Amino acid sequence: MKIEIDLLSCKDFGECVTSAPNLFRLDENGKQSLRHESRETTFEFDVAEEFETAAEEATIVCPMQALTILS
Amino acid sequence: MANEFDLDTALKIYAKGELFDPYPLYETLRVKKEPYWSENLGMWLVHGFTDVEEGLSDPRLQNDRILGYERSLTPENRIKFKALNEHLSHWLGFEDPPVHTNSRGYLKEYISGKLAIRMKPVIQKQIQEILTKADSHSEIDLITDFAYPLPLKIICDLLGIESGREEEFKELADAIGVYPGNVGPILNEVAPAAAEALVKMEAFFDDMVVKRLAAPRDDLVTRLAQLSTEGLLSHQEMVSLLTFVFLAGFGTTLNLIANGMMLLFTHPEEKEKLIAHPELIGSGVEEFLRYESPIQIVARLVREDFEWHGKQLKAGDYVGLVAGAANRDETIFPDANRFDIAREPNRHIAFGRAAHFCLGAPLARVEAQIAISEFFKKFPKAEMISLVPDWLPIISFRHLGTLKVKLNNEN
Repeated sequence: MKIEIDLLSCKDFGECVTSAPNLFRLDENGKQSLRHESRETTFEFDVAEEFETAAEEATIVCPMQALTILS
Repeated sequence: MANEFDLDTALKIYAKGELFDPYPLYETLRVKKEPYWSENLGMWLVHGFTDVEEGLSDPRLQNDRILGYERSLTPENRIKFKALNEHLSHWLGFEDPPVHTNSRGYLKEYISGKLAIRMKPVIQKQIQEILTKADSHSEIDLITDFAYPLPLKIICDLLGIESGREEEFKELADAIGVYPGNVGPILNEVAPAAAEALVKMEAFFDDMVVKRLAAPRDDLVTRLAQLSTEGLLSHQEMVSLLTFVFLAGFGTTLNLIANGMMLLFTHPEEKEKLIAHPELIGSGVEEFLRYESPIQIVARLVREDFEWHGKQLKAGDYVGLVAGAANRDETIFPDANRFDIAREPNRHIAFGRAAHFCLGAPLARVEAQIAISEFFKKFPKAEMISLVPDWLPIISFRHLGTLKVKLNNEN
């Protein structure tokens, strides 16, 4: 599974961290840690099979609808 | 494009909750690109997608807006319905941080994405029962026989309300919901029934809380009851949160399912597309949410004077963020008035945004997806009998009264 985060829409609420702690975390400033992974406004990454349910949950709880499952 | 006279007439009808196609009005007001003061409603209306989205995150617009309700009541009614307003003030949808943050946190332990995934088999089982029952008829009313039994069963299950009492709760929820769902002078008319129903629902939950404390379960009611005995929630806060969960989890999901069904029946080519490609149910439900958003207006109260897009907003002013208009904003959704179950991207605002983003969104999505796909699996030839959507006169909600269909099954 591939997931995309829209870093402009993301407002660092951290709901994804609660749902999928293995995929998301907030950095020491309380910001989405994936912001450090990309200079672009979006960032996509692969999700291991064991975390797919968690990723799906993160996508549906995101209050900014910043996460999209790509495949 | 409506001229000023038409706009005025439209707004008057709108204020009575009787403008059943509000979209031309929304569009006329949206293109003005500034908050619009509605004298009839006594509130600023905001229609653009970006402005609504911004408004939902702006701390200068507070959720505590009981003042707005009080202002709409006559002085006599203000006293008479004090308890009703006090009760509502503890609903999550009327709270602001830090109180809101705590209350939401307590509810989130039980109402989350995990709950939705866990509930899938329960939803499947319930929907099969509902469809089997429908199958013994040749015609049904999709509202009473399909769209409401599911969310009602699920929310009763979540709250541990014993089966057999669902209908009673539905009646109460209907009477209560009309009050927070309206704005303006009409509140005086709907308050008595709402207050009476709320007293009954409160008494029921009071009783249930006592039972749960005596025999605790791993459920939301037990958890909130314990928080209350520990002093982390007042008794009123606890009971208010319970009625809030019931009301929030029931009516809105009913409307999502019903509005989705109505949209498919009035757009037969999209219905056929869904039947041929059941995998479109995911994007389909998002389009139902966008196109006929169950919650049309999200209200806020201005915390402090500030200028917003050229208009001077004063502390205490009422603001209506019209999600139903934002979701038809042409600048965000190409061909916004076209209903397209495969629409991508579709970052609609039907569940709100930010700190108040609908906690029950995952559950509502799963319920609607399962209900609607299973319906068309069982009754692919069903046809709508009602010719005109029977919208109820509630300004904030998109709520159908009836939706008659012929199932074209064996009967």
